[in-house]
Amino acid sequence: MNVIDCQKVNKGYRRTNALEDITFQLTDQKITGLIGRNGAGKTTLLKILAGLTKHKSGEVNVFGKNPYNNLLVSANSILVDDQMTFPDSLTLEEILRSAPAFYKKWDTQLAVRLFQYFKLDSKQQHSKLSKGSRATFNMIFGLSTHCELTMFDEPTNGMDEAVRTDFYRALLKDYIAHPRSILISSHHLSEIEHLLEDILLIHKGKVVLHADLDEVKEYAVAIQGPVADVEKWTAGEEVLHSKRVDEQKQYAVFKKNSKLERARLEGANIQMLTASEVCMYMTSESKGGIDDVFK
Amino acid sequence: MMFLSNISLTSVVLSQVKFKLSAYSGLIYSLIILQVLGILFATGWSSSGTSINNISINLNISSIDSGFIFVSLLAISVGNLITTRAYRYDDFSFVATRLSSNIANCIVLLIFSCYAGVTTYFTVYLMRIFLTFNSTNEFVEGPTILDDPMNSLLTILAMIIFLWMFSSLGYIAGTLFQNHKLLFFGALVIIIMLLLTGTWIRISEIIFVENSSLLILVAKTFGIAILIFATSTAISNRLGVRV
Repeated sequence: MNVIDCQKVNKGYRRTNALEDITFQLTDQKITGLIGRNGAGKTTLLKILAGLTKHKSGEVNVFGKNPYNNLLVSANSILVDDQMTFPDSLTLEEILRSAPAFYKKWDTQLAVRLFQYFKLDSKQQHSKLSKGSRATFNMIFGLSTHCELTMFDEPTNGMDEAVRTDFYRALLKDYIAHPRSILISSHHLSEIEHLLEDILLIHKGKVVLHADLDEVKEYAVAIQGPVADVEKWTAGEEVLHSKRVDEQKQYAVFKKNSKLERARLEGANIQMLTASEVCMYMTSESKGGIDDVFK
Repeated sequence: MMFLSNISLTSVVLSQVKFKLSAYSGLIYSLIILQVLGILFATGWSSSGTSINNISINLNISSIDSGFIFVSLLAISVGNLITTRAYRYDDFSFVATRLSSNIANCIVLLIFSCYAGVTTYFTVYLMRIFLTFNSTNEFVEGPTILDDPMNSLLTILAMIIFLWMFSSLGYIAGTLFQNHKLLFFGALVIIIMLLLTGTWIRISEIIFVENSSLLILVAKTFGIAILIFATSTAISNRLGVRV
């Protein structure tokens, strides 16, 4: 069953188009990575899915309902981001204690154990927490709701290395125990790659790629060899990225195809790419790189 | 297989009301401070003097009117306060829709108004004790709640509903302001201009002054408050969260 079904969703802020004709479906019980560069529209998309903001045109369905002002969607989904707020008059402990009234699947035991593990102060106020601790608390809150659709927007922002690793581990363990749909946005794909089944890559408000992790890895390859040869091998291909390695050698990334075998026979150095690299090259603005700036 | 939790609007609103009551309980301190100020200001609220032959009589009337005015101002500011961004966003960290949030706010303001109305009414007894000890004048008490229970209860009810209506005024002003600053100032200008015209004064006279009984006034005020809250709900329906 589709948890999310988006058809030609558009959303614009005053002058810019944040989302343009976003179309994708998300089936249930999968961990999907929402990947994109800064300003690609990840946060806007998540806010629309969580019913926090309204889209301009197109159709958004979460659990078969338009999420904006829908109680069923609100009760079964949560968006964890660094803008989550809680009343200052309540302590962290009181916040966690008031959650079960709202979230029917709230896991008190998980919340308490994570809270103790990460050594948060139960008498502290939410707004007084450091950036990392606040992110940790929000993450605990989000995981413990056990919502059928759990969304994280850059959840590890501000967390230190150890907490990040623990968070990914906790997410995976809890997901295995309670399978549900998890959508996690990040611009550090390499960090979350081991968690993901699917990747939804968006760039400049458009869906560029929606595939499972292995397909993404297979999508493109890198090739290195003498300049003339590389140009021959990639002629007529969609080159995602190319750069000069030195005077004689050229490095190019392009979509995988049948010509590859011939190139291999001709002595090309073919390198497999990680999903993270594929995503980076697919969303890069120019054929060159940062080096070109300093030429 | 997905198992979606079904939740009714009523139960969400109830949970929100409970949550808000505990989260906003600090407002009680502001209320107490204003009530104490009301008692202090009440002494000699209005006075009149006459003298016959060589005897001069000075009459000082102390009432809870000043206290009620202070608490009314509090009601307006609390109504406005809970429409601000921080309070609105807090709701959406839990289960909420804009409708449920507005209904919960409306109920919470009514509960606060009940509390404020009843306690403000009873500050009159505190004031009497205060006056007995602090006044060198001859002290004449007004009727107590036991002398005329029905009328006293009606007065309390009227105070509650008026406070609620005041909070609704703050609420709609806040909602307008959050929605569109320009809209807020536009509405403000229109209201001030209306207040300056004769017809508007006549309308408010019909509503608030020319009533055959206090109960009719209470009913009218209640209706106005409901109308204002409903309008605010309609206005806030397109407000985004965490934008």
